[in-house]
Amino acid sequence: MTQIALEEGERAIVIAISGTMEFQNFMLTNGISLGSVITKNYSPSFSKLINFSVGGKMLSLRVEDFSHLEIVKI
Amino acid sequence: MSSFLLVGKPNSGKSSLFNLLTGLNQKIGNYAGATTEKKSGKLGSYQVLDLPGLKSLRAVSAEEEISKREILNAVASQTPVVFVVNGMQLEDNLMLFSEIADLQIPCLVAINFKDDLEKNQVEIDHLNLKDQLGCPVVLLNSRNGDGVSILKKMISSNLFKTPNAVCRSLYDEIHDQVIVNKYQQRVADFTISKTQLDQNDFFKRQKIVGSIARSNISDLSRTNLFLTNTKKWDRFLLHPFYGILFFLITILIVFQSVFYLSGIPMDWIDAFFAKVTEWGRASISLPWLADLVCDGIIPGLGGVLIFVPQIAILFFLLGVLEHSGYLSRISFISNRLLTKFGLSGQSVIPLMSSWACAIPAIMSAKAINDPKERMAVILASPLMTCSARLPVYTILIAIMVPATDSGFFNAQGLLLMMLYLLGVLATLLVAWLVSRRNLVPGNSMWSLELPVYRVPNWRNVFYNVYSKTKAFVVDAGKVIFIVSIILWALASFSPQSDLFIQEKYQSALSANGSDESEKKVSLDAVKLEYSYAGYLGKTIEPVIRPLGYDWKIGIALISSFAAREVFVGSLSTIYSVGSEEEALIQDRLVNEINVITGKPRYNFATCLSLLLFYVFALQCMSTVAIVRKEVGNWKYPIIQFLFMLFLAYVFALGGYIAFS
Repeated sequence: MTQIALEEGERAIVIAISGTMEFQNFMLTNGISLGSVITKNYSPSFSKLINFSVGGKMLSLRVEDFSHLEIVKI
Repeated sequence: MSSFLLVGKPNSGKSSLFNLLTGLNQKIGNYAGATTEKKSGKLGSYQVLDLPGLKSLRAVSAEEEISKREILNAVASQTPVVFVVNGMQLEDNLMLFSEIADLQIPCLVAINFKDDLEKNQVEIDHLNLKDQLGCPVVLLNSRNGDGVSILKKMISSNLFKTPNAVCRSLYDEIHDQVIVNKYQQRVADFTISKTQLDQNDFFKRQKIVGSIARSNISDLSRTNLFLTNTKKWDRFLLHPFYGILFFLITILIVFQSVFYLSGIPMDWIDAFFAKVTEWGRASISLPWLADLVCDGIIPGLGGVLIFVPQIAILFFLLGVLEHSGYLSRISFISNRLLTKFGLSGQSVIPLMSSWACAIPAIMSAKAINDPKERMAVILASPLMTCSARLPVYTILIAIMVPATDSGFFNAQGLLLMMLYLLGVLATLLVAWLVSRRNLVPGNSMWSLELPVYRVPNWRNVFYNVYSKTKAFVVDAGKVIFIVSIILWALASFSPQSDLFIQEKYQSALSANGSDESEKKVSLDAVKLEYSYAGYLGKTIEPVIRPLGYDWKIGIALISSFAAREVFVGSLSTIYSVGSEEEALIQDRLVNEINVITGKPRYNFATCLSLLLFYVFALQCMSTVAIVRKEVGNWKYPIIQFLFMLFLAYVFALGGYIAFS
């Protein structure tokens, strides 16, 4: 699933993280792991960033990085 | 002296707590072998070290690596830790705490933002949490100081306690029938690109920490009101049209305010230095000493200190933007634009810090994960308009554009903003050039945390203004003091005999007439022209004449290669030597006549040429030294210096030719 299917305010659960080991480590240090629940926030397309809430904080990732998170809408 | 470390995640309110604990007993230095700012202070008999915020002991950025190193050093010395937790992000923050707990360092946990918890009607059972973590826990609010006195008492009573280990046992290994724990070693050896993060460790940690957090928070389902409000504001402030418009208006207001609000305090400082000069002339009996103090040191220092109000206002406004949470939104909305120049939104904060000073900007570039982007920021950020350029710009703008009394908006402020924009443009283009050269290998890791919007903590903003303005005054003051004395000596003494100067004076007299006032000016001018400084300026005059400069400007240019702000101090000293008038430096420059054309020396074209020269030239030895330290060799700072000098010369020449 990609972020395109996730609308603002919708929640999803991370079921897999692909990409390099470096990227996976980076996600873990940012508090994103399997089972993390994320809520998509307002993310204007011009910024090429996806803004979401996870663990009580607001985090932004590049669209291409966010696509490495396999998520399921909940 | 005993010491403790202040550790926490970014946006946990750690720096606010540090300011509350130490007050003005702070010292800002550098970590050994690095340029990251090291903030230390005193609390009673304790030395407090405020570590840069980190997300995990499995450090990603160079700045986090420094915090990790300090924490690992604390294991051997058993230096205690005050761990600051953002109460609204308890679970997330306790993940980092659990990593530190496994190092078995004495700790004390401070749960911050008690007011946010109360407003959101969230209760944390800190007594139960204390039992579960195995070390004391205190609830406090670093914004208004609530609960900080309890923390101080706990620190002074040395109530630090080694917390319960969380995943430490996963790293037990048996060697020769003895259990050896390898956790510390694994943390020390961790490299993000080479070490597989132990998933067992992470999930076990997450499970235990999650369970602790859940069992101590009254209502997990309650919506964070601050986060909800922040999301509403973000719909406007991150909007592709309104967000960018708001950003441009904000920046315009910042620069207009720098001019508008500083006028009155600048007049006060000016009047103060005029009085000091007057007092110096009346009370110092030795003529040479009176000349040194009143023509050398006071004009030199006064010429720069007069700009302290503008610098303080700029730091204040940048601090407000940072502490309100808006600076991170600027990173967000600028990300796409910066990507086109080989940068990312992460570069915005270091680049905007360059408006204060390139040195902290280069230091804060350590927080950028991508080494390639970091290199681009280091090499390009000195082109951003730093506060040291502000005195130079202000004085030249005041000569070029007359002050208009049309309220808040004025032409001087607009010209200043255009110079800042030119600096930004030059920075982006140089960053683009650097990123295309692949000087260092890249790294694709990037994330941006957007803090919730808050009313800025005024105490923090003022501490920031105080410490940075103080650093500017002290650092610049030292250089200016020495340069002023040297310049005064160079401008007051001559390799020629008195007889030679008298002869030149007589020939000047016969050429200019015999009026008494002209006699005075001619003698002063002749003395300065045949002084050591005069010869020095004349040596470089052929090179700078095409830019519209004379040998006097040449002296100020040479002296300001130490630091840009010295330019104004040098001009003050040069035009004060031998002069009996106590006029403002600006008036002296306006009245300076070009001996060849008979017209004002500081005309529009010359001032514009000087402005363009200072936009591009890297006239700051401290920046060169810091760049050398950061990149680890002399090659890049030398290339950077020569390249910027080349740009400065070309643009200054172009500007002068176009408008002369």
